[in-house]
Amino acid sequence: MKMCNSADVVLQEFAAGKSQETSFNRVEKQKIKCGFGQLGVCCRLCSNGPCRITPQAPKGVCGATADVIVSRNFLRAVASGAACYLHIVETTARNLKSIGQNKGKIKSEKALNDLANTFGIEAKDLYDKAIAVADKVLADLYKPRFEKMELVEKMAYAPRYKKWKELNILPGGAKSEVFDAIVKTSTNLSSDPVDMLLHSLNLGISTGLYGLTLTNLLNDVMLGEPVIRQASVGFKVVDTNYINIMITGHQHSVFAHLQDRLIDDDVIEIAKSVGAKGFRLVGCTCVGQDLQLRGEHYQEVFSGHAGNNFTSESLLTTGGIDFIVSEFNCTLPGIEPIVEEFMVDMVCLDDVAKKTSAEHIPFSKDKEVEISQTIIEKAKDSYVKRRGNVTIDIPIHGHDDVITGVSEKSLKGFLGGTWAPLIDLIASGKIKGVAAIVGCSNLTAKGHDVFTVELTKELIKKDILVLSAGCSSGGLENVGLMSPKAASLAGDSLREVCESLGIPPVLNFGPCLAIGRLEIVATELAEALNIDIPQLPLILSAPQWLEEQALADGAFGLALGLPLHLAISPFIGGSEVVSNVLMNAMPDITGGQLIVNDDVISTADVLEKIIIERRKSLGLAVELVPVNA
Amino acid sequence: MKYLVLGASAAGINCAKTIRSLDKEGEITVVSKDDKVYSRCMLHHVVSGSRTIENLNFVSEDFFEKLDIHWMKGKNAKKLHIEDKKVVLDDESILSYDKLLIATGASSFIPPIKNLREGNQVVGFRDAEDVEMILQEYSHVKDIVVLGGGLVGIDVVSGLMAKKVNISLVEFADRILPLQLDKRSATTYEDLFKDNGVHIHTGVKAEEVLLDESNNVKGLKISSGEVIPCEMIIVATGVRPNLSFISENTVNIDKGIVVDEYCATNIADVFAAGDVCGTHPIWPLAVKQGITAGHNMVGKEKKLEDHFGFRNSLNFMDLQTVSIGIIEPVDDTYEEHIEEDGIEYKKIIVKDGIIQGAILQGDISYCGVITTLIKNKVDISKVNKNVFDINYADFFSVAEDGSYEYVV
Amino acid sequence: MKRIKIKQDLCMACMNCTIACMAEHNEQGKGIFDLDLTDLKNESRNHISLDSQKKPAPIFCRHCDEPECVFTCMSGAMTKDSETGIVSYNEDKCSSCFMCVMSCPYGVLKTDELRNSVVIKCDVCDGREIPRCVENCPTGCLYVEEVGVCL
Ligand SMILES: Cc1cc2nc3c(=O)[nH]c(=O)nc-3n(C[C@H](O)[C@H](O)[C@H](O)COP(=O)(O)OP(=O)(O)OC[C@H]3O[C@@H](n4cnc5c(N)ncnc54)[C@H](O)[C@@H]3O)c2cc1C
Ligand code: SF4
Ligand code: SF4
Ligand code: SF4
Repeated sequence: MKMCNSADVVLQEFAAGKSQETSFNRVEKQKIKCGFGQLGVCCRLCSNGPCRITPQAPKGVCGATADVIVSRNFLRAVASGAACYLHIVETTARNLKSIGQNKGKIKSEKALNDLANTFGIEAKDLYDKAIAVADKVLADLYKPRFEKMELVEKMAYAPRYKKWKELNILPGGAKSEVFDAIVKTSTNLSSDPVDMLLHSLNLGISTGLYGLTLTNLLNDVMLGEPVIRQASVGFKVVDTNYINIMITGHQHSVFAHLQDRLIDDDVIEIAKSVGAKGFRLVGCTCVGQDLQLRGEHYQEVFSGHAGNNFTSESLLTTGGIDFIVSEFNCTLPGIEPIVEEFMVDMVCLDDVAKKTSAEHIPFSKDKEVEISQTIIEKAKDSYVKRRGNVTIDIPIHGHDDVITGVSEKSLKGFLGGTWAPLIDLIASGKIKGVAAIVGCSNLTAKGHDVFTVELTKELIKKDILVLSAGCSSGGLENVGLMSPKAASLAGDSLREVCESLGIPPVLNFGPCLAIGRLEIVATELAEALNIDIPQLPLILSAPQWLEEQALADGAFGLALGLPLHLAISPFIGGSEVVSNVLMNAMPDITGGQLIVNDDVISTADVLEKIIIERRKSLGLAVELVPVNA
Repeated sequence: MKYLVLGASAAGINCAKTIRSLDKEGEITVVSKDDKVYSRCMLHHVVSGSRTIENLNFVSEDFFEKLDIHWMKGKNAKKLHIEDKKVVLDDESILSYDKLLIATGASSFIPPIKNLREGNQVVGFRDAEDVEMILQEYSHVKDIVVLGGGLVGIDVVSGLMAKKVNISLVEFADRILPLQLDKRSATTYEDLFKDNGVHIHTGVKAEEVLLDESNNVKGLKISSGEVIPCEMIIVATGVRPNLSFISENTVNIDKGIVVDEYCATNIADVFAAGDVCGTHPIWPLAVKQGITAGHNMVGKEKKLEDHFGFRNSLNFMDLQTVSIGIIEPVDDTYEEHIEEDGIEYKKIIVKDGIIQGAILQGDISYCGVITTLIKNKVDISKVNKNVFDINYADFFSVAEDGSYEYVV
Repeated sequence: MKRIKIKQDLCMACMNCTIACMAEHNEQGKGIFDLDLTDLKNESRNHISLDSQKKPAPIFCRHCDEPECVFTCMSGAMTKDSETGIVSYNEDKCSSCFMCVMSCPYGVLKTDELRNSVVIKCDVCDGREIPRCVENCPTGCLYVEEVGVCL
């Protein structure tokens, strides 16, 4: 079978040796792309459609121009993406509330207090505080559109809040904003591309502050804060002596009880009764990445992060996975035939990620004890049924020295409780600037993780420190760029910095949700420098963005005023207005800018140029300090 | 085998080319009065100045060398001797042949109007020489009359429009292009011409040319009684086949040389093609007849499949029109379908499920299908569509070799 | 000669071939993202027509063995190459008489939208290894095949 390239050569070879079809193979058969779709000018909102824009037919039946069609499609995509993240934060907040109500386990009091302080909440005890914090979040999410969300001002960097107010893009109730975005983009409603783009920014704000940032912070309360540590990654983390449960999704708090329960003695006994040493969670997709981030607290139950979204199919073909629990994306439909062949049973805890062959057990915090028990039983049964009947082949793949657990707090802690050392390094030019390489992996920007890895290598060569969150980090860690030894690939200055601190040139913030953490870093750096975010020598790139969620993230990046690079156009090329607003006018609107470029080298150059420009306007050295000077 | 081709235009050139593709050895000679190969249909572009005669060459520079064809240019055939299969040229040289093609085309016909043939500045519009003469004279000229509002006349007008002259067109019919256009489509062009300063006189006859004592043209009197002052008259009132080298009672002649479907004349080994046959003096038929004759001259039997002469495409002042088949319903058994949209105009005439004629003005995209339907009398009654929407998809079929075929 | 062959039943009127052809002939660059779909300059040399049952038919120049467009061309702009079989169009020679448009039996030809002065005609992508339309047809409806001799 033909297959695409992966930056992860070992993975690619492993997949090539397997007979199961995966996304790597299918992308070859889907190579031919619909040009209208790529340009975003196909509309099938009504039965007069599908309409496509051509020079001879410059308008849809209803009169919609390319600008209208593209902006409708774009806002719909951003709305869907925002909806996904808002679903996650809703679940997360509900789980926290339930912990408060049931006096459950609070892993980080500090994280809770921090949040309560930010929100201005006082409460008689921790549980009430948890309930109050969760309620604040939920109340905002459920507000009608005409009532602005209250936490935005509390969470956002003041100059940004001002800007957003000025632009009239402060979100009302987040879910209602999504709702009306759908309304707006239906047939014969809005035809104002600029209004729809502003609505996208509005959704970006709720995605960023609630879907990303608050999800992280609420999870910190329930699951413990990230601690910097070394960890193993790749397929090698699968230990066949255990009953291996692969988890896929984004809603880590759903697993809070399970992950503690799996290491209870009575549960280990269950495993032992069928010949296994115990149960292990194998990380895959973002929830695995989140578990890795907090791995310090889960050393016993978490075997490590195996890989990102498009690694999951291959991971299953190792035969080492005995059971799957999913609760969100990226749970690829492509795993289903593989799961069948490898006799792996599946449970799905949230119907939004329901797979046909999975059993749906709707999660609720109140029933978590029962649900965990069911999962344990089913995992055991699946293990018993399959072991001995399937081939197990786990390749030597991965690294043991990946630095994980990086967060806005742990990094600052590592630097001595202040950003000053990092700022000094940037000011002196030892670090030219910072690039946040985030988002997913896709298979179309040169192959699996190929663009991400190549771009990252180019940037660190230019002494630009890379921070990563999302499936991009899953790819980057599996090729060794998040191990300290990768310092040798960096430019001389950055290499010196990394070597002296014992850190890799690419820092691992974990799941895509942690893009929110990167944005806190950006905010805090700006605060420390007393400047606004668009002035920072910092760029954002989601080179291999995959889904609508990434576009909602991207909208937040633009709202924050960050330059945002994508290797693949978000299907806007067909509209001059949309392209122009996002790529050319945005600097004057929010300070952000969309850059679409599918060439690694020129992208790196463009991003470097932006960083240099910003250094210049901050009065920072542009000529870098020579090494050892 | 010795092939002799008289004429180096649409018919002659295509015949010689065909012969060469089928007979690599044969000796091919082409004789032409023209000393250049050029497309007559484009002569008006030389008048306008947008091209030179050299630019009208419709074959490659090295056509004759590459195909090893002997070209005797600037020579006139003076006499054809069918008995001893020889042709005498005006320089008295004698050419013998095994197979002969007569493709000497036609010349402008100057009608018997008083003083017309006597005037110094009276010229036809057919040959490079005509254009040379016009270009030489026109700088001394303020007003030009074009006589005849058919295709050639209108070409001339459109060519002259780029020049600083006063143009008057005189046409006997009630409209210009009476053979190609109906009233509505002709009027559209007339208005465009008028907007561009051309004076159009339709429904009038030319009666007399006014000359001065040295026979210089001074004006044209028309049947309305009006006198159009002018210093030059370009005559585009029709053509006559070039037959003067053919002796009576040899090759059969009617309106022109009479040929059968193999393009053969009544005389063995003598073929004829193009305007010299006097049937439909249009370029595509001259080409096809030349190709057909070429096949039959090398002994590869080929019938002329296409006799369809009622088609023309026009493009004046960036307004395109095609006219195919009849232009008006003959009686009320013919249905007339009309579609109008601003300047755009389409008319299709159908009888008993067969399209008989069409005029398409403004938008001619993909219209070759209609030409084919008319030409081949394809039955469209089974196509359940507005006649203007009929396209090749309605007859779509792909042959083994990937070529398209018509399936009804 | 090589000809783009067509399996009509596989065509689903996605028009990817059409847009691919536009992109291939776009002076601004050949990438799909270089293509401005609102600019009339971008024209396709192929098109999809529907029959009365709404069944799509891909209309592509056949580079005919007996090309009507060549026979009717009075300027020498349309020529058939005796070696490759390709019927090509030379814009500089063209006299804009549009006899070819009137004569192509399959309605392949049209005049350009913007200036009405040149003919829009398939050039088999000017020597491109695989014609762009064929490369972009997702259904396998279009493919290239050697079809034997030509004149
Ligand atoms: C201005 C103009 C516009 C036209 N526009 C169109 C149009 O739009 N569409 C269309 O279909 N047709 C058009 N025509 C008609 C078209 O040009 C003719 O049908 C075509 O040229 C006929 O080709 P032919 O080879 O038969 O003869 P011709 O083109 O007349 O060529 C005759 C050849 O024979 C040579 N010759 C003549 N006498 C002798 C002799 N005695 N000895 C040796 N050689 C001789 C000539 O030098 C010439 O080479 C137009 C014609 C003109 C003049
Ligand atoms: S690309 Fe293929 S399937 Fe699509 S319209 Fe063209 S010929 Fe038909
Ligand atoms: S344009 Fe028409 S006539 Fe000419 S080669 Fe193509 S299909 Fe044949
Ligand atoms: S071969 Fe090239 S020029 Fe011809 S239709 Fe296909 S894409 Fe267009």
